[in-house]
Amino acid sequence: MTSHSAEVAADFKDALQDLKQNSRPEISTLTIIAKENTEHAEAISRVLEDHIKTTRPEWKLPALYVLDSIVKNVGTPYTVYLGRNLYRTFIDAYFIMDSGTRKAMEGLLKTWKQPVPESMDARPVFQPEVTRDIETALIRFRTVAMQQQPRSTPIPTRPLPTPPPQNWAPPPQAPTYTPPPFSMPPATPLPAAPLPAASLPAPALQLAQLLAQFQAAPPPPFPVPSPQPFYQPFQQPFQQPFQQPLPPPLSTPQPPAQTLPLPPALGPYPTALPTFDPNWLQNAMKTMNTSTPQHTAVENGIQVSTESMKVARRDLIMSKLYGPATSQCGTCGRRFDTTPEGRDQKAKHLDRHFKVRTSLAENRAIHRSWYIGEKEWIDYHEIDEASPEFDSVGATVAVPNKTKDKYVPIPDVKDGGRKPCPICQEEFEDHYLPEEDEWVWMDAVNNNGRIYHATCWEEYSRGASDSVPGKRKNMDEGARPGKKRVF
Amino acid sequence: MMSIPGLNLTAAPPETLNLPQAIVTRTKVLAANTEYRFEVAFSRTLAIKLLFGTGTAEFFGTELAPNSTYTFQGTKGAIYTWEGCTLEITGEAQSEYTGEETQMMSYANAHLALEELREKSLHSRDHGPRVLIVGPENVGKTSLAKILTSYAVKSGRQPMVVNLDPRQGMLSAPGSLSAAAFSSILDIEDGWGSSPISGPSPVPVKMPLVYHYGLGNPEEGKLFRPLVTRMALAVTSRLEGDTESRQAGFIIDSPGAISQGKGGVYENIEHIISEFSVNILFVIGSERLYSDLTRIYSNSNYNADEPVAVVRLDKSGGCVDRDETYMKQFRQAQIRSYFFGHKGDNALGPNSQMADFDDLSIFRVIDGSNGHADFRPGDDDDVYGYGTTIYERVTPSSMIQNSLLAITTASANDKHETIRDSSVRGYIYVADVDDVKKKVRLLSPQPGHTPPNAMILGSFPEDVPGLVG
Repeated sequence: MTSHSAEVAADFKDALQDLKQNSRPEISTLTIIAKENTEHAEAISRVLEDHIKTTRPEWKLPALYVLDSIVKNVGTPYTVYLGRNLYRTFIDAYFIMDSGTRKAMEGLLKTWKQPVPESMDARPVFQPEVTRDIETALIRFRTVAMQQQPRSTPIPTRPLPTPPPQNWAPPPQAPTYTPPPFSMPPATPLPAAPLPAASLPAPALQLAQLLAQFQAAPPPPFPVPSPQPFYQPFQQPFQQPFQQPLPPPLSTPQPPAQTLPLPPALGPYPTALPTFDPNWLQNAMKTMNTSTPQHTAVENGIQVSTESMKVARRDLIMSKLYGPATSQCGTCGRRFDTTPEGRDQKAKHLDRHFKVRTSLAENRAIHRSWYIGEKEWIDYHEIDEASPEFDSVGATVAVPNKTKDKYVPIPDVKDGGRKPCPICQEEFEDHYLPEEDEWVWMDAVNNNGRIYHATCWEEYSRGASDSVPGKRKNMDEGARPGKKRVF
Repeated sequence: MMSIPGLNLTAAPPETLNLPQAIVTRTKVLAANTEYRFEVAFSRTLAIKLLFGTGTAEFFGTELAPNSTYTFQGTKGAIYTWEGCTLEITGEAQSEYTGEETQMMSYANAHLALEELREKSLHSRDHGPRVLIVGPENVGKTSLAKILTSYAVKSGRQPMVVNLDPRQGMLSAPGSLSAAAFSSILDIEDGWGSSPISGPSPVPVKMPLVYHYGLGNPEEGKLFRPLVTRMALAVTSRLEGDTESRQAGFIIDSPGAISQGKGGVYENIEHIISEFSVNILFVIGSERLYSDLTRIYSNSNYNADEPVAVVRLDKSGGCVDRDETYMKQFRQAQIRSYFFGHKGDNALGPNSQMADFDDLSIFRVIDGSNGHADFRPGDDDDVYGYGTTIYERVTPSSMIQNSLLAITTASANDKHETIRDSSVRGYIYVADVDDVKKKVRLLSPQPGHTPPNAMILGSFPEDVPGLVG
């Protein structure tokens, strides 16, 4: 960030601090500042994200409206910078909001999936990947909230109904049902956004209403900051026409009886698979949340059992496999988090691709290397090429082909400085390696922080494996083949 | 075609291209939860590209980068999409269709269940899940192993993968048993990826530990179980110091033959479970095997420190039988790629060298057909006793032409058990034998003297004629 950039960002920050209500003039001013300073978009975006993250809950929504206004009225590069962390920005705020504000946020999200109204550009405001991840998380949040309802609710059980149509709304009797507060926080937190305690008391009923409205209501009007607060007390949840009186009577085949034998060793039978749903509300939720009518298991207990493998956990799978890491490498498809660490990793990863391409272009003769020996393999540790320690231990993209060609960078004084090889007690010789632009010790390996001559180490390892390698010692200590060893 | 002066080596496959291939490019729209299944001959190429912005797609769990072209040769595979996508496909497939019924949901569930155990092991500093996959041939055991590995890598883990199926090598030649920790993505075009080479590799190389078994069937001979024991010791020792891999646990892929059983007894499966302290057993495709193993491991007589969870998974509708012809071609392609690399852009240059008969210490695996008493788990004296004859020393003759020799780390004077238990440095190929001059022409992965170490010659993999033209 240049100093000028920092200045602009600081101004923008000051203006944001004053934004304590949904005020159109203030939001317009902030949008204009952003528009006139697109060259500092990154700094401004960061300030805005920070503000949304740190400001008091009741001031978050106006700040989100600033974000909305900027991405819709200015567009790129803000959509890019703000899109990177949008998941965190949005979800973190969402979880500590009350239900009315959440609804407003859902309205915002909905407009972000569409093109800017009256714009020539047919693309959505944010890339579909960005909004999809947020939606996945919201759906999961609702699922989790729903599952927190105690299973013992003494409401008469009903058979699993045929999935009602998408726009099915809860029957009016619903308000008489008041779920007790949550007693059991989820044991496995959401992968990217743990539920803060504050959000737990949100009753499932409210969520259901929210969701029903969100699904059934026409898209809310374009929520560019309006003079009146968008926030409205939540009091007319059941305005939707009552389209389907009750779930149809028992007509669907019930879930197959669980007849497969379970190994007793597996512990308790998964309780997450009720044959009947405790109440209609869950069924209604389910048909809206998931595309399949199957049950969603409580997520803190994916049992290792045959039955558990058949449960459809689509949303959980999507959020685990595609949710948390949304920034993808264009060359190999690997995904990275959108956190600062994730960005560093990705930069390093892309750097490696570049280095590989460059040296492949040099077209040197290469060949298969020998496999490493047993002893060496046992001491070997994988290091992720994108992790910060990848270079510092002297690993290179190319595995040195000969023992004598191995090298390590000359260690710093603080890392112990110059020490002779512990095996032969001789000093290392300094070499300059032009391709690495670094001074190194040739014929050297780093094993657990100590530097040895590679040849000495190999000799030593071979000697060791000729006699009895490391793991054979285990046997001497009593663990014998064919007998159960304790890990 | 590449050639090496003086030897006329060729990296080209021996198959002839019969007809000029019409390159047809088409797009294929996949609905959510479906997969594009394809088979490509060894003499053909199929290029697949995921169009940008149309969704995500994965090849046995490894995600495709959008707008990158992946080319396949001699492959039977499937591109799965969780949420729908559009593929652009160029080239000719032997067969291709869209599969609607897949087992991806249950395989992903298996991953989620393992992830929970890994998460627990992170807190308890204990071992992560120790998985063995069993089932008959062609039910997708290796595919499941790849999916579980890819998903684990994607979740930031470094799982250890152990291949005990000699019929197809992992990061090595067929006939071997190998293990490696995976910290980087699997190579979509090249099976499990590549073992180390002397230059850069676009997908990071994996670091395998390799033992040579030398037979195709684990039920024959008496080498399999001692090697499983050896591998288990090495992996266990590695995991003692390797925290990341210990917490990620390991996944063992097994040969279909051990799932046949004799009257409900599965000696090799039980041996693997006991040696590796397996605690999760995925049984694919065979109800009978599942039922037998459930009985064995739920039996209160089963005396173990920790219970074994036996979980049945269904076979994917995409599994196809791979006949012996295909498997043979597949193995030859694996051996070719060991010496020459997988494709043009990282083609390797092996070294041709001459050696005297006296330079080679070749130990031929004595076939199981004349084997003595069966090895049983617990018969320690038999494994580590002395004087057992496992190999016979052979002098080079035209018999060994076109065969693959495993160079061990043992010396020629070592006991047979030591030779058997020593890991493999690499493979050399016998290109030619001159009985008169008593010289052999060898293909070695790298330049330098032919190592004086003991070399194992097995009946498996079979001869590879035409590797060197």
